[in-house]
Parts: sequence; structure tokens; C-alpha cells
Amino acid sequence: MSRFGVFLCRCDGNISNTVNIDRLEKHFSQTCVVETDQHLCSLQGQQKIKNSIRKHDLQGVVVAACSPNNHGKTFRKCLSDTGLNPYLLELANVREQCSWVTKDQKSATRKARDLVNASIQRLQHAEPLSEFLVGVTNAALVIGGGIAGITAALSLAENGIKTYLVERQPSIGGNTVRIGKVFSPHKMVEECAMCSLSPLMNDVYEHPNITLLTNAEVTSVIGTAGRFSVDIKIKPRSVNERCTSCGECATVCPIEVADWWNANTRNRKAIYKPFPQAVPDRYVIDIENCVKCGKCSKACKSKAIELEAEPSLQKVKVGAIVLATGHEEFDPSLRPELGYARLDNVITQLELARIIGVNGPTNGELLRPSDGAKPSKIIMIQCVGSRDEKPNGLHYCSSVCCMVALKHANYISDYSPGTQISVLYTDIRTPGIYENYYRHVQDKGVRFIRGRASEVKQKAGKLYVSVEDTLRSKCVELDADLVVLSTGMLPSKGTVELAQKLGIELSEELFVKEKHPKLEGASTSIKGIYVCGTAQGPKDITYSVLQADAASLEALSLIGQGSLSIEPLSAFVKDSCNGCGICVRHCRNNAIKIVDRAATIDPMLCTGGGACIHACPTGALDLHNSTEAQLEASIRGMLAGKVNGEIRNIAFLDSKIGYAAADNIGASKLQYPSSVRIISVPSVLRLAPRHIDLAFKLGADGVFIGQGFEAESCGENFESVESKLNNLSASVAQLGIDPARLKIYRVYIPHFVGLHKRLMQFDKGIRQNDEPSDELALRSET
Amino acid sequence: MTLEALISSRAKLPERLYLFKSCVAGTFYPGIERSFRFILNSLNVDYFDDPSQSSCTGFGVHCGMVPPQTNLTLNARNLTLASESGYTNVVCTCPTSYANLKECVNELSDTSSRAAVNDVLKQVGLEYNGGVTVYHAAEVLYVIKDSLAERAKSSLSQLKIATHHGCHYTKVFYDQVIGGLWEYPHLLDDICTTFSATLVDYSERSLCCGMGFTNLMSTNDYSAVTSLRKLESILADKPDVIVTMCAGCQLALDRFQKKYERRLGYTAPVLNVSQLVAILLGADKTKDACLQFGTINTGSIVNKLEAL
Amino acid sequence: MANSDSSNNFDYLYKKENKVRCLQCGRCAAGCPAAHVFSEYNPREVMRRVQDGEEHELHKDPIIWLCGQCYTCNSRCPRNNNPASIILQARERAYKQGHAPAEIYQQSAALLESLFLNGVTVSPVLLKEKLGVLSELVDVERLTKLRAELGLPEHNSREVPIPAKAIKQIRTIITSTSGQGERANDA
Repeated sequence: MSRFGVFLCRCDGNISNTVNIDRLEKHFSQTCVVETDQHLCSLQGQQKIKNSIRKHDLQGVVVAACSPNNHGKTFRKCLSDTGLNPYLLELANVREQCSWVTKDQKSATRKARDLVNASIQRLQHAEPLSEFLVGVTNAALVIGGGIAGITAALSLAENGIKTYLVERQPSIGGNTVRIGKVFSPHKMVEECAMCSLSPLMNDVYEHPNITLLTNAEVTSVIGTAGRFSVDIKIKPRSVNERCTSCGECATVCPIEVADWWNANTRNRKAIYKPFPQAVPDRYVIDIENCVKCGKCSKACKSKAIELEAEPSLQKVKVGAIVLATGHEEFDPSLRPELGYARLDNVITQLELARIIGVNGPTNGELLRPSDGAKPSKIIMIQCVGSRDEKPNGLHYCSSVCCMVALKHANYISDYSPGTQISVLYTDIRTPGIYENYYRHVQDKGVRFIRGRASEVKQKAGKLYVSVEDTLRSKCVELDADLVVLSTGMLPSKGTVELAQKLGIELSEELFVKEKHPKLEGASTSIKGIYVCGTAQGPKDITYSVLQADAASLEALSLIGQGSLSIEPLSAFVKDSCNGCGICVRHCRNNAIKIVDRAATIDPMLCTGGGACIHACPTGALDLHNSTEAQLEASIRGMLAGKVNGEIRNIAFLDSKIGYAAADNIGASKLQYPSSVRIISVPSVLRLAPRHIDLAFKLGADGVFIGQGFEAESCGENFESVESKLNNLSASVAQLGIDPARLKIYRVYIPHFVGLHKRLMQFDKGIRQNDEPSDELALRSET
Repeated sequence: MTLEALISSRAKLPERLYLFKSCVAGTFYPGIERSFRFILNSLNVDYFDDPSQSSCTGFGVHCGMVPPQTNLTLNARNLTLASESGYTNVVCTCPTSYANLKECVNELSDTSSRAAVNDVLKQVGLEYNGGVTVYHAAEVLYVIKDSLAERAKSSLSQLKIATHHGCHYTKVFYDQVIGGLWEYPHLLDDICTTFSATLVDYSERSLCCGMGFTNLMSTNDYSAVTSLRKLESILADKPDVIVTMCAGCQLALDRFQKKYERRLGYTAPVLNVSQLVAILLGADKTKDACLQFGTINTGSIVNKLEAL
Repeated sequence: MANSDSSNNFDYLYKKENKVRCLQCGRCAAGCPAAHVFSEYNPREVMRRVQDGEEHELHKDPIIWLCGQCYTCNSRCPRNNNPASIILQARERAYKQGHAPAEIYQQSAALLESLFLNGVTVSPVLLKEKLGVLSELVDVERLTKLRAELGLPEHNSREVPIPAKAIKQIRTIITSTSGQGERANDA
């Protein structure tokens, strides 16, 4: 009997309903100390583990429960509390990778047994390790200068954190600038968005702790929580600080461009100031459209124009990052039946906001685009692009459009009395106190028709909307002078691009996925990176600001720690190093140096991807907590007990993105065959051909390699990871392994559904090609 | 995917075409297929005009008269004839055939359906093995429209044209429409403008022509009311010609105009896009395009064609 | 395959799986030409009946014969439902179980005969039947004359009739899948 303890969690049925815990208990009792509990993560459960460690003087612990991403730290603490090194713990993920993804009880129990077995085998090679502390950079980066980013930056700066605020546009303000009026839950009156926003923008500009970088984009982020290095590319503004905002330049500029700040309802010049309250309060040249005719230079009395200015690059170091990259509007021309872009008087709510905005194209007068006449009948169409599963549609509710329509209906009822407004809706969504608003707008005489508009037609200059009044089962064609489309919200292109650069997980809808939907709503899948506003999902200003405060508080508490305890997961040198220096070239983090004819590795710089390990010709390098012996033990363990005719496929997933995606597959209860066995590796660069070969020699039917993202891979960029994986694939082919049995997915996994699909395809592919092979069965170590 | 990419992603000229003949066209407007052959011949496009192909039975299917298994197996036979001949790009002149055959190709990718179908096909010495793609003739014309325009002997510069895209082309496999999104297709419009036509837009662009299958063969109001709605909208801006891509639509729009000529107060001849293009390429109006089958006189169009 | 149970294997024809997820938004009805003409026909209500578990009762309701099969409902539905295909399935069931209108059976006899004899569904010979509005629209005499002038067959929509060997294949398939012409084939 070993002095290993195996603790089996029932998770209140989450595990035990599918996995026969009693059978496992009986099985492992023959070799280990075994205890079971309803909730090992509870204080009582933890106490059980601690008592058992003390009572049996355990030398190592296997906890078979949920993903290490949930309670790994809790269980490690159980070990350290009793004086046992916390790295002598192995977690068998029998919930996310077994009970939640396998329906059949027999297969689930068998798989759980194998997962625990693999953990026991790995535990035999565990080494005691100690964590160390690193300093945290006392600065933060906020990406995106809309209302969420502005709020987050101010909160951080107010708390003494040096904060960089990066905005792509030449002014901060974002969509809040464009929407003109805002609604609030307690007042039935629309407030001026700028009145709330403008003072905040000025605070940003003047705050000593904020460095504002407009016309700028984050191009790369490397490092980990507490110590990120960020590259920011700044487009030339081409107008320097001497600008007095007199506007002479714009008067003479011959180039007209559609004005984004006015939702393209009017034009601006190539040299322009986005809006009167813009911050910075300066003109800017839109270099994509400027023809460099020089007229503005001649007109400028302050000599502020620098036509030849070049883009610049700024590098900053920060401890935490807040993403506030916002949303875009659904393009209604993708639903041509609604007439947008074909019929002049079909506009979006945002365009309506510009039309009724005092600084908009009609100076606040409600006039329709075709002829400048005052519309007396307005129809608003809800759910344009939202709750829509047709190609390019958004499957979700954009959550604010009902309130936006009510806001505009209310405003127009107040300021253009006599205007007849009808709102065609699928479901009116005014949660909580917003219901007051709905009631208020009903009182004003706005008509609500329960039906989604089918088509907008124009006959003899008049608009007609086909809709069924579903509550009366009556199909009608309603005439209108102006049709307003309530378009949905989708993640901005910037959000998606940046998420891919940072390697943070996205939801199925491509919004930034929060770490925990209830408990950690402003954290992302990567420690030290937080999210707020519409980058995380559709929401209104109230909730964007709340989440911005939450995100900045998270960032503050991380930075406020001053130092972070770092897991000792770096590469290390064994004694056989001859100082050849090949590994140095393989480390993009510059963590390896040759000192006294032997390599030394700086654990602070090493990101623990493991690329150097098989680069070493003498096998002198290894990786803490993912040693050769541990990795080999995992492979052996996962394939042990394979019976004739059984299929087993090993999936190596990187421990950050790939593994987290697999956890999400479990949390979503997406099923996959129990033949798929997941082994976590710090990065796929840790894998050498010998590991793949070993898996096949031990009877694996297929090997799947899923790489989440390059940031964790020894600082390698995407292309070099790809070329290394190509080499791996080629070497494996040279070993005589059927290439169809090895699948490498080099691509970024945007969300877990994609990984699930690939795992299913892979397993199916292996099964279809798999002819029962006696040779394989003979070779397996059963 | 951007709008442009979505539209252009399917616009590629298929080669080695299997000409799939339509029973409605063959009965009422023989000029549609004669014209299409004339166009393909003029451009030396390689195609197979297989007499052995049966009807797709789509008309009967939509009326609920033909059992699905008969439909699927007969079309599996048709698709097999195409694949065995090496002419694997099936081109339909009828949108109902187009949709029906596409649906059969989809269903036959299911192994159990395929096995059941092959069980029957075995009796006639055939086996369905897939490998066939289905197109509509208008798609072919759309893709080669520039080469067609180069060979045109006359132009449409004097003509105002209104188009109607068949519902079974645009609304069944809506995500596979080329030339615009399914809710506002401009496949036919783009072909016409290549020949310098002026287009007339109208409000009931996406409305059914009124053909309506069982409705057309009953005494209810569907066909008459719908066709009138459609025609009143099309004729509002007085186009010289209505261009379609479906014999069924042509039947409804042509014959209902005749019936309600007085009420409408204005008529415009209805042509299939193949007929129109064939005439522009110099086809014989009677023998090839068979314009005499139209009930609304087509003479006005012929007079307005501008010689190049 | 000749027995009718096997039709369950062919439950296809533009079928989609999302019908119980219908939002009852009415987009289908507002765009439906049949709903515009007939107050008793509404594709949203058809979907409601399916949601309420009455899908297999639909075939007894004569409203299913009012749909024009234009598929606007299919292309408009935000939840990717396909009411037109539900109608189609109901029609097949109705036809098989004797619930279709009498005129449908009369017309189908002619149509299926044409398919069996000549391999074509619609053909000039069909115009001899009572075809409702269609009979009013088509001047059969004129059509016959025009066809004759071009040398087109009198009873066949095909310019070049389908060869005998192919017709034999077509008949075998029809007989094995529907039972039609069982005796004819034996003879």
C-alpha cells in the first residue's frame, strides 16, 4: 500500500450521478488511502483531506474532482497547511472531462478510473517546488476610450495608478458621443449624453496619472499578469499642439468624407475635429483620405500642421490591462427586405439619434433624409439583426434596442408632439425598473404592435411596412414617412482582433468571455486582463460603467499586491549540460544564458512553454511540474488498461487556452466520446516526436494536438509555432506513423464550440479509418 | 463574411454542363430551352443534352402528389446519369428543379437514404455515388455575361426592364443565391445591364408570381390576386419587358396579364432571360426563342432592340 | 420499399429542425401571399399548432392546400423554421390518407400517368383535365397549334421523347417506390 491519498468528490451528484464513485473507491482502496465526500471543496471536505494527510502521513495526494482551474489552489492549500509540499498534488478532472461530457455510466466510470490512474502514475514523479515572488508594474493599460474605458481609466488613475488610455479614433468618447440622448432607469426624461461625458473626458485629459494615446492601436502584448509589455502604434495626428481649433483648415480642405461621429448622416473634411467637445481639443488629419494638397497648411496661422508626420511606436510596461473595445452596429443592408440603403427614409436608431441631436446634420430638428420634410408617421422596427439566425445574423438579443426605441419615441413625443409613432416588436424587453419607461411611453400614445416587420416597401414615394399584428392575427401594411431600424450590437472588429492577439477566450458570439459569468464578470480567461462595457456583451451605459468600475477594481487589487507569487513552472538545467548554447537560440524570452560553460535559466523570464527542452542535444533541460518523467507517466497512465478493440485518443492541449476551452465544453455539457483523453501540457512546444511515438507505442489510436495561442509558447509568434509544429508532424511521419492518426490544430481556438467540433471530427475520423489491429492490442501494456 | 464576399463566393463558371430539362417550360414555353442551347452553342460551351433524364417531379411534389421516395429515387437516377456521363454540373432552367435537385443531393449525402435509394437503383443497373453540383441556367448566364455581351448583335439600351427572380431559386436555398442577397437578388438585373438595359425597380419585388402550384389548378383566388398584386407593382413604372428565370413565373405573369389586360391598362411581354439573351445573340425569334408562345405580344421588344 | 411505411426514411424536402423554437413573431405571415388572400391561412398559426403538438393533425385541415409553396416564410424566419415544408409534409400525408380535395386526386391521376408513360410531370396532355384557373388561362387550341407548327409532340412536353430503355428504368423506379403501375410492369 502506497502512502498516496485518493480523494473522490461526488460534487453533489454532478460527478456521482454518472461516475460510480463507490466502485472507484473499492478499486483504489487496494493500493491507496481513499476517501470520498459530497463536496471536497467545502471547508468540511478540505478538513477531511487535511486530517487524512496527517493521519496516514501521506506522501502525495490525488483529488478527483472538478477542473484544476476551479479549486486547484484550494486543494494545494490543504497540502501546504499540513506541511506537505503543495506540488505533491495531482488533480484528476473527472467532472469537466468526464461526468459532464459522457452520458453512459459505464464508460464514464471507466474513464474516471483511468484519469485517476494517470494522476497516480504522474504523482509518483512529482517533485516538491516552491513559489517565488515577483514585483508588479505599478501601471495599467486601458484599451478603448468609450464610456467604459474612460470610467476604468479614471478609477485607476484616481487610485494612484499610472494609466495609459489607448483609443483608435482621434478623440475619446466612443459611441456615447453619437447617441446624443441617454435614458436612465429612474427618470422619464432623456438626458444629454455629452453633459455627463464631457466632464469625464476633460478629467481624463487633465489627469496627471493618465497618458492619453489617441489615433493609436495596441499591436502586441507579451508577458503575464503583473508584468505585461505592450507595443502601441500611434498614427500621426498631423496637427500639433499649436492648434487653436479655429477651423480655418477645414474650411479650405477640398476633401469630403462620411463622418463616423455623425453615423455618416453628414460629411466632414479630411482635416477635421470630430465634434466640438473632442478630447484632445485639436484638429486631426485623416491620412487615409488626405491628398496632401497643402491648402490647410497655408490657411493655418498657428503653423500647427505637419503634413509629413510619421507614425510612431510606443512601448509601455503595465501590471494589468482593461479591455474596453466596445461594439459595432449590425449592418442593416444585410437585410435588404427592410430597405436600408435603398430607400432614403429608412434609417437606423443611431442615425435618428444624430438627426435629433443638436450637433447633428439637422441641428436637432426632426427632418427626414429624402426631402427634409417633417415626418408625421414614424415606424420603429425592433430586432434588426438581433435574435436572427439567418446568415450574418446575431443569434442573441442585443438587450438595449427596446430601451433605445422607447427613448427616441419618448423624446419625439415630447419635442415633436403630434408625431404618430408605432413600435413593431417581437418581445419588449425592459427588465427591472425600465418597465416604468415602457409604461410611460405607452401613456404618451406610442403604438406597440406585436410582430416582427417582414418587409419595407416604397410605393409612390410613401413607405409601407408589412407586419402581422400577431395579437390579432392580422397582416397589415402600415404606411410611414420615416422607418427607423433598431439594429443589433455586435463585437467590434477591434475586440475580436485584440482578443486573438492577447489569447483571451471569446464567447460563441465573439464577445470577450468573462472568467466566471456570475462571480468574475469583469475578468477574462487570462489573469491580469480585465474587460468591461460592450466588448464583453451587449449592455447599456449604466451597466458598462458598473462593469468598468468592477474591472478597474480587479486591476487595482492585482497591482496593489505589489508582488505576485509565481508558480515555479520554469525550465531548469540538469547536470549533464555541456554549454553548447543551442537552447539559447530557442528561447525568445532571453531567459537562458551560458555562464561558466553551462546554461542557466532565469525563472522570472522563462514562461515555461518548454520549447528549449527537446532542442537540447544532451537532454540536459527539463521543465518543472511537466518533467519528462511526469509527461511520460501521464501518457502511460492515460493509455493503461486499454482492452482489445477499445479506441483511445490522446488530446494534448495547452494548459491555458486549450484546457480552458475543454473545461467550457464540459460546463456546457457538450458530449464527446470517452475515448478522448486529455493531457495538459504547458504549451504544445513542450511536445517532442518521442512523446507522440510513445503514445502510439502504448496503443493510442490517434493523437490530437490543440494549441490555444502563441503567447504562452516561449514568446514565439504564430508563424514560428506553426513551423515548429510542421517539423513535429514531419518527424512523426518519419517514425512511420500514419499521418492520418495525428491531427495538429495550429489555429487559434476562438471558443470551446470550435474545439468540441474538432475533437468530434477527429474521433470520428480515427474510428472510420480504424481497422481492428491485433498488433496494436499486443503492443498495448495492459 | 462581407457582403461582397458573400455575393462573389459562388460566382464561378461550371464546366461540362448537364442540361436538365423542365416539363413546364417544355409544355408552355419551348423557347426557353431552345434559347439556352442556342446560347451555349454560340459560346461553344460543352454540354450534354441527355434525352434519358426524367422530370424532377417537383411540380407534383409541391402539390403533395408525388411520394418523396419516388421523387428522391428518380432524381438519384437523374443525378447518376449526369455523373456517369462525366457532365457533373447539372444546369436547370426551372428553379423548382434546381431546388428539388439540390435538396435531393443533400438528402443523398445521408448514408441510410443513399443505401435505400441504391437498393432500388440496383434494379435498373445504376448506383448513385454523388459528385454532382446543381446550378440554375441564369447562374451560368450571370457568370458568362461579359462574354455574352461581347458577342451581342444588338443591345437593350432602348428597353426598360423589370425582373422577377423565381422564389424556388431565391427562397429555398437562400444562402446560395449569387448576384445579391436572397432578399434583393439582382442576378437578372446584372445580366440585363451588361446589355445596357435600363432597370425598373418595383415595390413587390419579392412577391410570388401567383403560380402557386395547387392554387393555380384550383378555383380559389390565390393565383389571380397574387399575380395581380405582382403585376400592378411591376407595371407601375411601365417597363418594356418583364424578365424571369422560371417557366412557371412566366406562365402566371404572361397569362394573367392577358386575362386582366383591361384592368391593368398596360402590358409588358414576359421573357425568360435565356430567350432575351438568345435574341441579342442573333437567335431566330420564332424557331429558337419561340416568342410566339407568349400571350402578350413580344413585337414591341423586337422593335426596340438596338442593332450594334 | 414499395410499402408506405418506408416513407419515414424520406422525411426530407426542405425540412429544418427548429420548429419548436418558433418565436411567433409573424414575419412569415406578414410576407405570405396566401395569408394575404385567405383569412383562414396563416403560417405562424401553422407553426403554433406544431408547437402545440398538433403537427400530425394538420393534414386533415383543408387550409394546407392554400399555401402557394413560395417559401417566403422559409427565407424570412429568424429562427430558421420552414412552415412551407411543414405544409408539404402535411399534404403528402393528406394525399396518402385520402384527405386531399377531390380535384387533387383527379389531377394527380393525369399527372402521375404522364410521369409513368412519358417520364415527364407536366405535359400538354394534362391540359385536358379540369385545372381550375389554369384552364381559364391557357388557350389550349392556340398552344396545340403553335406546338404543331414547331413540330413539337402533341402529348409530350419533351421535344425529344425519353428513349424506351430509360422509360423502362423510370417505370421500375416509380413502381418500386410507390406501387404505381404494378400490374402494368408485370405485363
